[in-house]
Amino acid sequence: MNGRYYIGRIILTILLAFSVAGYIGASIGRSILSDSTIYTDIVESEGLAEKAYAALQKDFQAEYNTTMIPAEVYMDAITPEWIENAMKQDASAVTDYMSGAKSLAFSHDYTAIEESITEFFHEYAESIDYEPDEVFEEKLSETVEKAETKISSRIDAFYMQTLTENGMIQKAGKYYPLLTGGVWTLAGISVVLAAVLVILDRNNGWRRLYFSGTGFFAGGALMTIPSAYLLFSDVIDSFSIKDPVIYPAVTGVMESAAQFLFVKAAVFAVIGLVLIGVSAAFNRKGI
Amino acid sequence: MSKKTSSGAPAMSRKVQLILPVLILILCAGISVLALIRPYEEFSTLLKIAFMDDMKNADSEQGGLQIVENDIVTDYEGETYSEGVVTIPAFGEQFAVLEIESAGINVPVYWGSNAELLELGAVQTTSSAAPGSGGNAVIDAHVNTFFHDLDKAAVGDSVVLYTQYGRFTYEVTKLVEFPYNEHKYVLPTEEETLTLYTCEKQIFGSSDIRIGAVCKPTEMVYYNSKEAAE
Repeated sequence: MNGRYYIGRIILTILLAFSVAGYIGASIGRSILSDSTIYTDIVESEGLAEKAYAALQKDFQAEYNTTMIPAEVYMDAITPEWIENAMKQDASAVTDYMSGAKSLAFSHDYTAIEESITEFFHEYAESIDYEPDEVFEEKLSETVEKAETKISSRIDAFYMQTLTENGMIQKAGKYYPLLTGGVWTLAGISVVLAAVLVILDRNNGWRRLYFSGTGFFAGGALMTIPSAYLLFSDVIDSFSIKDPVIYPAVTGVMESAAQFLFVKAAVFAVIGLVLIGVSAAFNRKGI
Repeated sequence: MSKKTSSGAPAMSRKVQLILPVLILILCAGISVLALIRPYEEFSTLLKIAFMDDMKNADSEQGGLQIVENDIVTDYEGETYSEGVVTIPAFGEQFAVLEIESAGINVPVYWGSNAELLELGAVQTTSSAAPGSGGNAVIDAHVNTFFHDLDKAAVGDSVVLYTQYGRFTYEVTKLVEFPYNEHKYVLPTEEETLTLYTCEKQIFGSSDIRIGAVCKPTEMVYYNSKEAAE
């Protein structure tokens, strides 16, 4: 009799714990894919645009040794503000796509760069009395293309373009509605299971809150533990790509996700503890 | 017979009330660990690669690169050996001076290849053989700086590489030209070889063509004998 009483409730409690944990995990995944403020905040707080600008300057200065094109030709045509806008546009392009936008395009205005390089080429050709010909045009378009590729890869701090080129974002877009559905389904299942546990003990005074509280506590704690590990250990810091732009961008996203997960999971764990506490406090006789 | 509440449910002691949530959490954690073993095994290598670096300072000026500049002796007068010990330098360490008198080239050579080192001199890729070790030592530099006059080297010219552990004299045996993505001349060889290359000079922008010189040894002089090292 006692065994039957406990086994049924424990099974339902475990299911509640997993549905709460699943809800927390899915909602974090959904936020990462659909909330552009996660990325725009990191762009601003980490000064990613300034770092990308400095990195590009270094790249073009190093390239001078092979191209003889001064870094200023490129750097005077772009600004950290332009890079910041481009980074934010990329993030919004992906989150908009998840929210239902039909196209996924990363288009930036490179007119100033194109004009600057063209001007430099023409001035240089004039200085050495070189009449622009087919080779000149070919080299010019090649240089413009290389510069745009380099700038574009520096803007792509969150790997949005790279993931899109590899079809990953499109794949995530296909599963995104399932993820959204999953969030609501798991939330619904959690509510139903908690209600069933309350109803099962409806005649047991405050104990009616005990098992649902236990489920919320276990589900919350289940997600609190890994997120706390991520936040308070060196795991995120040990991210291998130490590029001055990519490192703060990627670790910033990971830290935001871990913080979000930690807070949300801790809230559920605390709700669970409060319900258990209330149940225990009002069951002084240990019913 | 166990105690029951007025509604017929079994009584639950305070101890059980406190322990049960923890036990359920442990049970859930155990189930999760079991469920995650297989996915973890599948992705563990990728995770280890992605999170293998515990250097915390990502903003360091040179990304953790330790550049070491050494005084390389070019007029060594001590005892020398025809066979000897080759010391592999650390990444970023200047370990040699390259001299091609006929082309007016006299440049420091660093072990490892990256943009910072290319600013300082010629570089030797770490995947190639150290000079004097019996393989293909591949050294390159920018055409607009240290290897500007590499195209002046001709077949038969003498190339001297003064290293920390020996002096190696080569003779240019072949002048080569190859696309940047062709690896024929930078692959390992079984015989001692020195391969030098740079970009082809261009009026506009950079070139996808590389020009270089393949050199064979004429004199190998080591500063430490193998026997002494053993």
